Formats: sequence, C-alpha cells, structure tokens
Amino acid sequence: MPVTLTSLDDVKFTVDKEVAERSILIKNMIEDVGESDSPIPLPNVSSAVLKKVIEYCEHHRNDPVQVQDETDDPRKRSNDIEEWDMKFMTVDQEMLFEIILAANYLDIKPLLDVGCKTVANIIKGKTPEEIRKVFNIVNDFTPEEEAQIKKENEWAEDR
Amino acid sequence: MAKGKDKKEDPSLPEDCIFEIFQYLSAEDLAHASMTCRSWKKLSEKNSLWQHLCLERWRTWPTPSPFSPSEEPQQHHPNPQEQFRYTTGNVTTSGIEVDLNSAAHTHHEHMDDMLSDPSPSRKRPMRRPSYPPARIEDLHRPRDWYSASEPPFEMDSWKKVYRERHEKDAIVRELLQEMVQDSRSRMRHMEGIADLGMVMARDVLENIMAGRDGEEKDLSRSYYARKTVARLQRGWVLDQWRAFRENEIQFPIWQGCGLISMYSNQGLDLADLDRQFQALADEFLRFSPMDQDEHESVLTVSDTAAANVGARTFDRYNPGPFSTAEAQPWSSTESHESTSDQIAERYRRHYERQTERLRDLIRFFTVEQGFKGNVESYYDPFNSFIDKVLSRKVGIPLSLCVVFAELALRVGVSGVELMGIPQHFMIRYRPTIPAHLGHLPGSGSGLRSTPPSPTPPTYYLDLFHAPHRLISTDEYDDYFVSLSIQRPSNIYRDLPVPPVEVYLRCLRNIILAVDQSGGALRFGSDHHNSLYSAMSQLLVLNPNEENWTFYDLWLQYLTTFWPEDVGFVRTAIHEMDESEQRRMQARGYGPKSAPLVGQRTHHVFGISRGGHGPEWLYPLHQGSKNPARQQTVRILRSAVQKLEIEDDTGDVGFIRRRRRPRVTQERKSTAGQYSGSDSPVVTEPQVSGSPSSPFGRDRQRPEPEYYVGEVFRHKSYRYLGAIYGYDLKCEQPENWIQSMGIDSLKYGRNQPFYNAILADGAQRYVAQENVQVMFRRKRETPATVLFSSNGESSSSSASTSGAGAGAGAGAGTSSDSDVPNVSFTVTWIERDPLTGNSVIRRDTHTTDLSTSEPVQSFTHVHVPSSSTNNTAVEQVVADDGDEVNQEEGEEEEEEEEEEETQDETFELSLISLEDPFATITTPPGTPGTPGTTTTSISAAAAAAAARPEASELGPLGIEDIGKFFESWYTDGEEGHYVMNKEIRRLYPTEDFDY
Repeated sequence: MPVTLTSLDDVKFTVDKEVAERSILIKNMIEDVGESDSPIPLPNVSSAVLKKVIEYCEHHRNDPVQVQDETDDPRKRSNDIEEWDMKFMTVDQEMLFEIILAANYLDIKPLLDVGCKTVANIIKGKTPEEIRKVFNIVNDFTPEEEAQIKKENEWAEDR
Repeated sequence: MAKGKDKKEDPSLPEDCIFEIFQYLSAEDLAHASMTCRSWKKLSEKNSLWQHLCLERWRTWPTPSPFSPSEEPQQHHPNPQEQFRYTTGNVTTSGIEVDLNSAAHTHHEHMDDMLSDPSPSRKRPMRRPSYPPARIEDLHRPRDWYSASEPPFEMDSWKKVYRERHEKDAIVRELLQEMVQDSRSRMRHMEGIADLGMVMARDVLENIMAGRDGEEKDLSRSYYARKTVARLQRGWVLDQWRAFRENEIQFPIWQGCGLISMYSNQGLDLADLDRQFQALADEFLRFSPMDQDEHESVLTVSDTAAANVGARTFDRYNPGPFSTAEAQPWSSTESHESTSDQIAERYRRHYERQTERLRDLIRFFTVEQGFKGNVESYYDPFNSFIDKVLSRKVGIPLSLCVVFAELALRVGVSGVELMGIPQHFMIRYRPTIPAHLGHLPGSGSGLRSTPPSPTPPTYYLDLFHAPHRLISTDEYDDYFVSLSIQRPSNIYRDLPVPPVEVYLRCLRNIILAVDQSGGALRFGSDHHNSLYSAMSQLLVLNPNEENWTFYDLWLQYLTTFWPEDVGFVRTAIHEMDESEQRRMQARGYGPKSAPLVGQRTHHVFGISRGGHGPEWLYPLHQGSKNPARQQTVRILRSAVQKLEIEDDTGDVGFIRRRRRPRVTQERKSTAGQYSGSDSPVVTEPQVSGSPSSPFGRDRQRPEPEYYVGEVFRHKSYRYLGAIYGYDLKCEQPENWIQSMGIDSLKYGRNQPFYNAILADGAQRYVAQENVQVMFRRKRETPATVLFSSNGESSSSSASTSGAGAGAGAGAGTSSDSDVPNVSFTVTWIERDPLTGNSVIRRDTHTTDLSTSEPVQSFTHVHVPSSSTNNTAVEQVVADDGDEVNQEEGEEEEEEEEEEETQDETFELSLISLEDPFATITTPPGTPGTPGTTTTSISAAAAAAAARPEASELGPLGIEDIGKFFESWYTDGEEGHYVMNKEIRRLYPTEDFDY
C-alpha cells in the first residue's frame, strides 16, 4: 500500500509503504496513526532532498533491518561504503549536509551513517585550516588558546 | 557545530551529527578537528571517542587500582603465612578456601610501620601492575575495567591517555631503532623500554614483531622486539615473585608454577594454562558430572564470577561451589534436628561419595589421561615446568601433584592438599567438611575448633609411583618402607606445605635436574635456559645467604647469554644493600642486646616464625662484616660494571658470536695427538671476559666449513637460517643427542654443529652435514691481480695444474726448492655485495720450513678503497705452528693446509668485519727474511684457492638477516618467512618457494 509524503515546499511523493518505512519516524507515525490515505507532512525536508532520500530508500528497500548494538560496536570504519552509496553521495556539500539532516530527522540510520562516513572522509587528512575552509568554520580561539591547543595536539603530527 | 557563514548556502549540522561524524575519524584527524573551533574542540574531546580509539589501538592496560572490596577476586587465595597458622584446619585445599584478606592486610601495615624503607618492589610502580594481575592475559580485558569517565593512569581524559600512549609508543620505537642500528648501548636502550613497563611497551613491541598496525615488517626490528618482550616478561615474572615474597600478592599454586615457566617460555600465557586445566576438568566432568546440586551451584557461581571483573580464572577458587553444594547435609541437619547417629550416617555417606569421586579422578588422571612419573628421564628439567607437564603428561612428584590438585579443585573434589616430604611429594586427601558458613557451628573462622562427630578419613596418594591408589593412614608407614624412603616426621603428614615452599622446591628441582643431567657446565641449550630461569627466580624468591653460591654461575649465564638482564643484577645489589640497612635498623631499634650471630631475630618484627616474610629472607643474623655478603656484592658489582662497559663499547650482543678460533701456541702441545697434523688445531673459542667459563670441548674433526653469517637451508627440513656460531662437535647434553638421533647422522656427533637463527627468530643447532649453504657461487671472473711480489726473489709463477686446487699445488712447488722459507702474498679486489664498495684484500703467507717450530703467518689486510663503511684497516694474523713435513706427499699436505689456513684467515677477517673486537692486531710476519725464498704465485689462482666459492653475501650480521627475509601473516598469527624479492632477483637460481 502506497504512502504519500509531503515535503516542505508542498511537493507530494507517493511511495510504497515498505520504502517509506525505511524511515523509523514514518514507520512509527504509521503505526501510531494507523493506515490512512492522508499524506504525511515532512515540514523539515525540501522536495529536492526528499527526492534523494526516497531514491536511497527505494534502492535499499530490501535491506535487512540493522541490528542496533551500539555498545559492542567495534570501531567504526568509514572505508566500507558500498559502491552505489558512494555514487549516491557524490553530491555537492550543501546537499550532503541536507541529506544528513533529513536522515537524522527521518531517523534513517543507514543513510545517516553513509552521510557521516562521507563527511568523515572529507575531513580525513586535512589540516585544521583546511577543515575550517571546507566547513565554513570560524576560528573562535584566542591566539593564546590556539597556541595551547596546537601544543596539545602536536603528537598527531608525527608518525 | 559548524558555523555556516550563509545558512542557505551551507547548512550547519547539529552536534549529534557532528559527533556521529567524529566517530569515523582517526585519532590524528580528530586531533585536527579539535583545533578548528571551540565547539568542535569540545565535541571532539569526548571521552567515549577517545576511549574507543585507545582500546582499539592498545590491548594491554594496567589493572585498575584500587579495587573496591567487592571486586577482589584475586584475594581469596590466602596469604601463606596465615595458611600456616591454620594448619590444624583441614577444611582447606592448600588453604584456598580460607578468606584471610584482613589478616594479610594487618600484616602489611605492620610491616610498613616497622620498616621505614618501603620494599623495593613498591618503589617501582610502573614495573608491574599495581595490583595482582597474576596473569598477563587479564590486562586484555579493559572494557570491563574502565568506563568512559574513568580513564586509566589516573588521567582525567581519554584523549590524554591516547596522547600518553602514543608518545610512549614513539619512544619504544625510537629505542628499538637505536638497538637495531647501533650495537652500542643496546642494553641501555632495552632497559629504557623496560622502564616504561610491560603495560606501555608490550603492545607496540608485539605489533612490531607481527608487522601489524602500520609497523614495517622487518626481521631485525622484530628480532629485537622479541628480545625486549622476553626481557620484559622475565622482569615481570621477577616482579611478581618479589611482590609475592613481600606478601603483596597471592595466587593459586598452579599460577605460581606457571610463572616459573613463563620466565623462560616467552610464549606461555597463564590464560592458556587455565584453558588447558579447564579442558581437562571438563573432560572429566563429561564422564563424571558433579552431583546435580554441586553442578548447578558451580554453574551459578562461575556465571556470577564471570560477570565479575576480571575474575574468570579465579572463580575456580571461589569456595562457593563446595560450600553451597555441601551445605546440604548441614542445612538438613539443622532444620530437622536429626539424631547424632543420623548425622554420623550422613557424614559417612558424604565422605564415601567424596572419596569415590576422588578415585574416579585418580583413574581419569593416571589411566585415561595417562599422567605418570617420568621414570625414564627423571632429571629432565621439563618435568618441573607445569606447561610441559600438561603437554607431555609426564612429571616428577611435585609437578604431578600440583596439576592433580588443581584439577581436583576444578572438578569439585575438595580436600586435596599438597604434602611435601623430604625426598618425595604426595597428595593428602581428607574429604572436606561442609563448610557452609552459618550452618556449621564454629566453621566461620575456618578452624575446626568443634569438629563434628565423625572425623573424616585421611588418605595419601602417590602420583609418581604406580599403582596410584589411596593409601590409608594405617598403610602410611609401610608405604615409605616400600619406597625405601625414611618415614617422614609427622609434621609433614599433618601440615599443608606452604606455597612458597612448593615454588622453592620446584626451582631447586630444576637446578638439580640440570645438574644431574650434566648440563650445568655447558652453555647454550634448553637446559641452560631452564637453569638460568630457575636460578634467577630462586634468587629473587629467596635471596638468602644459602643461595648466594648460585650468584657465581648465574652471573656467568647472565653475562654470556642474557646481558640485557643486567638490571636484575642491579636490583639484586640494591636488595642486598637494603637488607643490610634493615639489618642495621633492626639492630638499632630492636632489643637492647644485639642479636647474637646465628640467632634469628624474628621478634623484632613481631611476626611469628610461621610466615615467610622478609625476616626469613633477609639473614638478619649476619655480622656487618659478613665476608660472604661482601664477596657477593662485589662480584655482582663487577658484573654490572663489566656489562656496562661492554654495552658502552658495543661488544655485547644478544647472541655472542663465537670467533673463528685462532691457532695459538697451545697447538704445540696438542699437535702430537693428530698424526699428519695437516689441519690447524683450533683452540677453545674465546668468550671474552669469562676465562673461567666452563666450556669443555674436545678437539674434533671434521673442521667447520661454513662461516658465521652465512645463510643456509637445512638439507632435510628445508628451513632457512643464518649461522651465528658453532661448536666443533655436538655440545648438547646426552639426552638431547639421544632424542634427536644425532648418532644416526653420517658423521654423528663428531662434526661441527652450527648455532643458527631461523627466519622467524627461532634458533636451531644444526649438524654440518645438514647445512646447505645458499648464495655460494663460483666467481665468474678471477679477482684482479693487483700485486704479487714479496721478498727478494720472485720465482716461478705457479703453473696451475687444475682449477681451484691448482693454486695450492702452485704453492707446493715452492717447497721443491731447498730453501726452507715460503712466503707469498695474495692480493685481490673484492666487491662487497652489500655495499657495492671495492675492497682490496691482501694475504701474506710465510712458512718457515727451516725451523723445528715453523711459524706460519698470515696477514690479512683489509683496505677500503673508497669511502666505504669500513674505515679501519684490519690486520689479522694467524700464527700457525703447524708442523710441515718435507717428506713426500708434502704437496698435498701443503695444499690442504694452505687452503685451510687461508680459509681460516678469511673467516677471521669475516668475523672481524662484523665484530671489531674480534680483530687481533699483531705485526705481520716478516716476509723475506734472509735465507728465504719467496714465491709469488698468481694472485688470481691463489685467490681462487684461498677463497673457494666464497659466500658472496659475505658475513651477515644478525642485524642484517632481517633485510633478507620478508614474512606474511595469516589471521594475526605468525606465518612463514620467505626471502624477499630482492634476494630472489639476485639469486634466481635458487628456488625460494615454500
């Protein structure tokens, strides 16, 4: 049974329930409200982003549900992104962030993970200055603080 | 949080997303992220992130301290002193069930009050974990120990912990690099690593050994890393003993025996022993499960214990299973108010059941598992090492008893005690009285103050001599008669043997075993490893005057083979000094009258004699001018001094390379023994600084053919190795020779045997006939003739009559003339295959045939032609007092001799290249003395004769070997080593595939 989703800019998307329920948020909503034809409003997601998100969910509609074992999770790796996901994530940075925000809001863990991994890969190997530039971060340290921090993290430069 | 300059253009991510992203970052990236802005700094320094990174990168962590009282699984093994005090109680299994923490503590405080000087082991908190870990494996369970909010090392954030360990790793790497590159100060560098402690240094060293975690695969580094870990482990073991001696830690007896093994067995892990014991126990339980009650309670208890922190091993010692299981008769006794007859009956049944189970266990142990006394080879030191006993299933009485007692405990048979009697070791068994607290009146203290009606029967068990049956008290006396052992005094029958006695006995047994098997006077075998191990531990566990005689031999071993252990000598000196101080204190603050010589002043510490505390260990009765003490300290100090000097100069290797022996004047006295005397007789290899080293060797032939540093393949086993030393004949103890079937070799034991290091760092002792040298190829072109004249007359240039040997014949022609002196010089250019540098070599050979004691001298001049690494001009002279016959057949002899002596010269120079201290600098023999004829021969031919198929790789230093191997690993386990590509390219003729 199809579900209709309404984006921030009032664009309607009709998707299979199975696809929509990749989002835990929507899944819970459907469970709470019961099945109905009325569209589900998603006021935090623009149509462009929602389209992307749905594309992801369509592709991953048959994935097994992730088992949540946060506690014993071995160290997370960012180099295990699937090829399709990698391609899917080759978007501009704005869209990347939007997707992460949407995945966070819609509670789609696998998508959030892929998004975060992609961002992590962007950070990898960059100097602090480069990171600031990429993420538009304003350096709000005082010069003294900065000197101190630099000293504290000197070890990370060797080896 | 990222701060977008323009919200629309670049949306900012919420903190939880940023944090999510941070979880994928490496430590370095995370450090960079923290330097961007305040909010990122705050986020990136969260403990959970860094804890994760830390635990991922390092496996070894210090045990947290202090433990809260509920988390002290190690403590239930009582302190031996207290155990002694409870000797009348028979509810204990070697006292294991008695909880005496508080008593141990009191004892401690007392000691602290009395001694202004804290014990030496307490002064080095980093040298060992701060509380009894009892096995290293425990260090690997950090997740249980540390929460994100409580980092180790008393630091306030995990990021700091990471930084600390990262920096320590770098130090270890740096020190190791120094060790690899420079033979000087190796000992010092290794001690530097040891000072960081096991916890800090172990992970990075293991990574280096395995080539894991970004560490280069380099056999040299791996080699020294392995050495360092072994050194760390030995130090760690000694620290455990020191702490045990000072009553700071206790552990089950099997772990103590495991410690003994760990000293010499680097790969041994107590957790592994634990598993082996448990496998045995499980096997027995499969046949003979515990009573339902018992079984369930054991399960319950071990589950609880497993959940407990780091308690996996020690739950075996939890009295829980036995007490709860056996609470049955007691609780019913109380609740039903049974008559005393009924109680007695219940007891009897209980005892019978218990004893029956013990019989089952004995059957299992001796028949099904086949553990037995090693009657054939009683004095095999391995009989005393618990790991070997478990794997070989043979042992001596003591080790068998330890294994059996532990097994009994694990299968729920309680009441098994070790009984050490003179000349023998046995098990004493008395079914336990259910000791469930609260149900048994008077049992709370662990004392059997009010023994319940039927006394349990007592049995004795001899695990060494078959048949292994339970001996009742009535048969006890007769049993010893049958063994022809004097019936031991009753004190042994009734008292449990304190753990410290078990350990000391075990160590003494090892020493005795090595001594009895004749190995004590020879170096370089497993026996010596065992002997060194036992002496080291004995001297720490009981540094009493009675053991001081061991220092001499111990130091010989240490200085010769384990110079990196010099720190142990320093500690020994320190402890000697300390004991002297204590003695002085005890005199000063003790009783008014100074203690008489020979009188022990136990009362000074207010401790009963039952303990094994320091008052036993430090001979307080010595006079201050005790000559034995002074003498001991003196030899210890001089050893340290010597080692330090050697270390400074670099003349100390982990493997001391033996020099190619020099022919000296001693030759004269021995020449007669060998008819023909066509080969130089070699003297004993010199090990510098240990003139009294008990190297006894016969002079044997055939002569060694291979050089130190050569890489070879074993003819039958096909492994690759490099030679680092040799013996002229097999110098292993007889039983090794027997077990390896040496006598069935073509040349048997009377051939050179080589010490070889294999690619994986293992060491072998290989018969010459099994050595197949690699990389030896004939020279394609003769060496360039540079120089060929000597003396007044240049006579016939040798006409070579054949390849190789022809040169010798050429030399032989000289003796056709009547002039008795022969001298020639051989010079050639050689390219060093390693450096590519050209080296001029020149040999001068003079034979004085006119004198009755001919002098044959060789000069080997090693001239660096360009800016080579070899800066020194080395001259090696071999004086050869060989008798040269002028009879017929001299040609042949001359030829042989020449080749051999040339060989020798070459080897001397080889060794001198790698070991500058092996160089013997003597003025070259004077060629061309009046009345001599000097024969110059073709240098090329001479070179061919002098260096038949010389190893092109030349001498490999132990350090270099690593360069020629590479290795691969599977599943984190060690795999194989193979020659690396470069070598394969250089020597394509060899098949390197495994």
